Formats: sequence, C-alpha cells, structure tokens
Amino acid sequence: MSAAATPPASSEESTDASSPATGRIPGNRAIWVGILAELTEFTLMFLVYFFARVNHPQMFHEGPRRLSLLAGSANTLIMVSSSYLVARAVLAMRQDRPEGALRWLLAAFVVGAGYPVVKFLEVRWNLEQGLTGGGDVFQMSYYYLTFNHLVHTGWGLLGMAWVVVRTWMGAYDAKNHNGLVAFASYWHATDLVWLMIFPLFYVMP
Amino acid sequence: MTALRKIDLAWALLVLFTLTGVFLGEFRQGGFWVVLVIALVTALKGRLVIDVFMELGEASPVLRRLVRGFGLLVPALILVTYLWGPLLARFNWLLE
Repeated sequence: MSAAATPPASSEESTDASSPATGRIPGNRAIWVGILAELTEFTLMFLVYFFARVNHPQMFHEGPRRLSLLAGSANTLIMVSSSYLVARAVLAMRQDRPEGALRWLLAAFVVGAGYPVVKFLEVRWNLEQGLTGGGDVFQMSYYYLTFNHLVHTGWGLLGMAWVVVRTWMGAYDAKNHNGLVAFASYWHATDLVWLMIFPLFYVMP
Repeated sequence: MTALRKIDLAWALLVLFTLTGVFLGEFRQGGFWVVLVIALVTALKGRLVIDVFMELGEASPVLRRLVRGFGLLVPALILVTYLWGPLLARFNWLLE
C-alpha cells in the first residue's frame, strides 16, 4: 500500500486544485484503522441479520410495517446531507477558503445533530407501540444494529465539533488539512453504514 | 466534471434514491423486481458515497477495494437471501 501520489493523468486534473492526489490514503492511516474496524463490526452484524432473516422470514416480512418509515427516511436524508456538507467543507479548505469551510462544517453539524433527535423521537414512538429490545428477533436485531450505529454517529458528532473548533482556530489550510479529511472519511463511512441499514429495517418487503 | 459538480450531483442522486426507497417502503410490494431495485439502489448509494464523498475512486487501491466490497455486501445478501433463503436456512446445522 503506497500513499505516494502519482502524476495526474491530464493537464485539466493538474490545474484543478480541488482534486486530491491519486493513490493516496485520505486523511491518515490511524483513522482508516478505525474505519475498517467499524466496517468489520457492521459486516459481522449484517451477517447475523441475514442469518436471522432466512430463519425467521415471517418476522422480517412483518417487522418493517411496525417501524416508522418517516423516522428512518428522515435520518437517511440527514446522514446524506450532513455527509454532503462535510464534503463541501473539505473542498472549500482545499481551495484555500477556510472561512467557507467553517460555514459548511457548522451547517453539517446542525444537520447531523438532527440524527440523535430523530432517533430519540423514533425510540419513544417505538416504545409506545410496544417495540422493545426484548421483543422478537427482528426487533432485537433492529435495536442492536441501529443503537450501534447511533454510538458511531455520536463519536462522529464529537469529532465534527473538534474539527469545527480546529478550523475556527485556523489549524488547517489548503496544504495542511489531513485532520479534517480524516474526520470527513469517518463521517462518510458512518453515512455509508446507515445507507446499508436503512433498506434492511424500513424498506425490504 | 469539476469536484464541486460531482459532489452536488452525488447529493442530488442520493436524495433521489432515498426517496425511491421511501416510495418502495411505503407501498411495500413484494416480488423479485422490487427486491432487485432495492438492492441496486442500495449499491448505487453506497458507490456514490465511496467514490465521490470519500474520494476513494482515485485513492489507494487496497482501501478502494475493501470499502467498495463492503458497499456491495448488503445488496448482494439482499438478493441471495431473497432467491435462496429457504435453501440457506437448511444449513443451520453447521453452526450447532
């Protein structure tokens, strides 16, 4: 695995300051240890989900009808939008516009903070409907997977608060913003995991 | 296409695909073609995040393959378990 940049393929790419170097590791190696651990953890949980699904098809067929599609959809839109805003922040920093990057990050934080709020309302609604972690295998896998994801989102929001402060303090610029890219990679990975969870519990017939 | 346009387009497609999922979830029709669309939409959403937001399309090949592989796992298992779920359930004895 080489982090060395290779020459750009075209003159257009070489003049585009917003393009990252080819063949690199985004951010730093340490964050990728964490991201790959997160993806491995969720891979195992997805295997457990599908194992349970093939053994209890009726429960998994009926389960999504009892969950709030509105809450799941709202959190999906929140995750993709917050991820988008973070990508815009990285782009602004790469173009040497730290004030713009700070505004994009603040917007990403405000949108991303909606995730635990929606999750809180969703769980309260679930409990009112009698959907608990001690329910059937569908409910157990739903709570186990989504709560794990909520924990990762919580870490991500803390990380986002950190890079907001660092950006505000002027710690990053166009040439040195690996910390920001490392956080962005983690946040996008957490978004990616949610995009895999969403159809399993809210959409699948 | 500039990086800015790529990011904007990726977000627009992610919202569009999410609304497709909401539509499918709301009407809850079964059948192979619906499950196929759910798997394809999930795979496309994952690929957009991986290649455009994470910028792994031009990054280290090892990272790119690992994360793209993760993004294909759930869509593949959605299809495999839909097509061969009862057959797979027969292999429970392997875990006993």
